[in-house]
Amino acid sequence: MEAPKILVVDDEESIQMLLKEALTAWGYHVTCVGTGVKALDAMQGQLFDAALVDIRMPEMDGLTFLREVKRQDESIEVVIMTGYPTVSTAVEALKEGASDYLPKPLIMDELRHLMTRLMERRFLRREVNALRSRLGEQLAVNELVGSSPAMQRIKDVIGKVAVTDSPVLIEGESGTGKELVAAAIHRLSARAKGPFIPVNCSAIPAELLESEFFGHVRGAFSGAVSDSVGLFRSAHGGTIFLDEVAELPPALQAKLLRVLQEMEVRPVGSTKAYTVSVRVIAATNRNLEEAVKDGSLRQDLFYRLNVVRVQMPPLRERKDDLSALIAHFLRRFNQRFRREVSGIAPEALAALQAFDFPGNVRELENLIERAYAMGARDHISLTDLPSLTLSARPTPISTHSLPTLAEVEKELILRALALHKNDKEQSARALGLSRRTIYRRLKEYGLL
Amino acid sequence: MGRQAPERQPDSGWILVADADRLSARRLANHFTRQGFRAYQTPLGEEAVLVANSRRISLAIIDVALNDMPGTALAARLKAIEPALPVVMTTNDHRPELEAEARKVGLLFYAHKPASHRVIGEVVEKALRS
Repeated sequence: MEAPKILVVDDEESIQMLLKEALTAWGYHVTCVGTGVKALDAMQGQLFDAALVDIRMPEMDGLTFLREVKRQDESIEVVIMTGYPTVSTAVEALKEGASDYLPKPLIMDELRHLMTRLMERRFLRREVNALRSRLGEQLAVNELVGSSPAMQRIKDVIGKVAVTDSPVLIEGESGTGKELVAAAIHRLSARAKGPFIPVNCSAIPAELLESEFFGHVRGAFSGAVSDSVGLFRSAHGGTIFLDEVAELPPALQAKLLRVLQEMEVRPVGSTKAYTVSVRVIAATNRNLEEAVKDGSLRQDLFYRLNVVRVQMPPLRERKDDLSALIAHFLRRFNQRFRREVSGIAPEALAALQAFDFPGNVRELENLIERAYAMGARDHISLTDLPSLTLSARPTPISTHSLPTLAEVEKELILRALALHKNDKEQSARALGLSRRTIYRRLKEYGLL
Repeated sequence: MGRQAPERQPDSGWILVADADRLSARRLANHFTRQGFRAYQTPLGEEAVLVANSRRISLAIIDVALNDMPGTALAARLKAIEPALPVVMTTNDHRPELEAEARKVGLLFYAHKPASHRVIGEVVEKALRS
C-alpha cells in the first residue's frame, strides 16, 4: 500500500524540517509549504490524506485555510497546531471540521499516536466505503461540488427557494447538474419526507407520456392490463422533477398545464380525477423564451413554470471548481474500483484546465472514469486522457469583467500545451515564444 | 421487412435484464440482442450488481421479483453505483402502492406484465438515443 500523503503547512522552517523528518521516518510521504495559499496550490489535482496546519500564518490563517481546504476536499484529515492554545480556538477548529487540535511545542509521541489513529480510522472508513460502494449499498454521493462564486450563488438560491413551495425552472447546458439542484431543493424543503421523482421527458416515447404522467385504467388502451397510478400520483406529497420539459409534445403540455393549475390528475381512460399535492421543478437545456417564440413551448406553461429561475453555470465558467471536482471523482472512483489514484499529473491537469468541457461536469466525470478504465493506478497522466479537442467556441468576453493580459496569456499557453500533447517546445513555437519564456511561465503557474 | 438493427458503437454499454422468470428474461435479452445490443440476463440481484461493477451498463430492465432480493432494492443499488442509469421496471404484481413505491427510485418506465417487447424496445431505444 502506498505511504499516506501528509501536507505540512507552517511558516516556521524549523517546524517544517522537524515534521518532515519525523513523519518520513514513520513511513509517511511528506510535502511542506510555508503558507495556506501555497498549500492550496499544492492540492491542485493532488489528494492528501492529512494536513498538519499551523493556526498563525501570514496571508491566510490556519482556520481560513481549514475552511477552504474542506470546501475542496471534505474527506481530508486536518490537524490544527498552535503555540497559543485556547479553548475557544480549539472548539472553533473542531466545529469547522478539524480532526484534532495539537498545542505547540509538539510532543512527538503524541503526534505519532494521533497520526496512527487518524490513518487507521481513514483506512477502515475507506475499506467500508469501498465494500458498500461495490455492493451498491452506499447512497450515491450526489452533492453539489464546488465553492466558486458561481456555485456559491446557486447554493444561496437553493437555500432560499427550498423554503417556498413555488415551481422552479432550472436552466443550463447538459451535464451541469440540474437534477442535483432539484434534489437539493427537495431535500431542504418541507416536502423532504415525501418522494422525489425525477422524469426525463425526452426519454419517454410520446405515445406513452400521458399514461406515464397521469396513469391509466385497465383497458384504456391495448397493453393496459391493469390500473396504473403514473408519475404525478406517485409523487404525491413530494416533488416531481421534469427534466427536458421543453421536449414535451404540445398536447401533453396542455394537459400538464391543467394539472399544474388544478392540482388534479385524470388517468387515461378514467372519468375520475385525483387530487395531488406535488411541487414541480422543471429543467431545460434550451432557451425557453425562444422555444415559446418558435411555438414549441406553450407560453402559459412557461409562465406557470417560470416562477423561480435558476441558471446553472457551465463548467468552463467555473474552472475554479475543477480541482474540487477532480478530487471528488478520484475519491468516488477509488472506492468503486478499489484503486489508490492519488492525483493528476500537472500536464494532465493543464490539459483539463484548457479544455472547454462542452459536456460539462458529466464529461469530466466520464474522462476520469475512462482514465481508470485505461488502467490509471497512482496518478492520472496525460496518456490516460483522450486527446481533448478544443472547442471552436470562442471564449465569451464579458463587458463587465475583461480578463487581464496575464490571464489570457495563461489560458493560451495551457491551450497550446493541450493541443501539442504537453510538448513545451512545440507549444512555444506555436505561440511565438522562446522555450525559456514558456518554462518560466509554467513555473510561475506552479505547473513545473 | 424487419426493423433495421441500430448500429452498435464499439464502446456502447450493456443492457442488463434481471428477472426471476428466466424464460421471460431470456426472451427479452434475445429481443435486444437481435436489435444489435449486448444484453446480460440474470435472475439474481447480487449477480446484477457484480455485473454493474465490472462493465458499463447503459440501461437496466428489472422485474420486481428476483430470486434473492426485491427488484426495487436492486434498482436502488444500481442507481447508487451509477446515478444516471435509466431503469425500466416490469412486474406481474399490479398493486398501485407497489408502483408508487418503485417509482421513488427514479424509473425511466414502469410496465405491468405481460409487457409488449415492442413497447419496451421503443422505450429503450429512445432512452439510449436521448
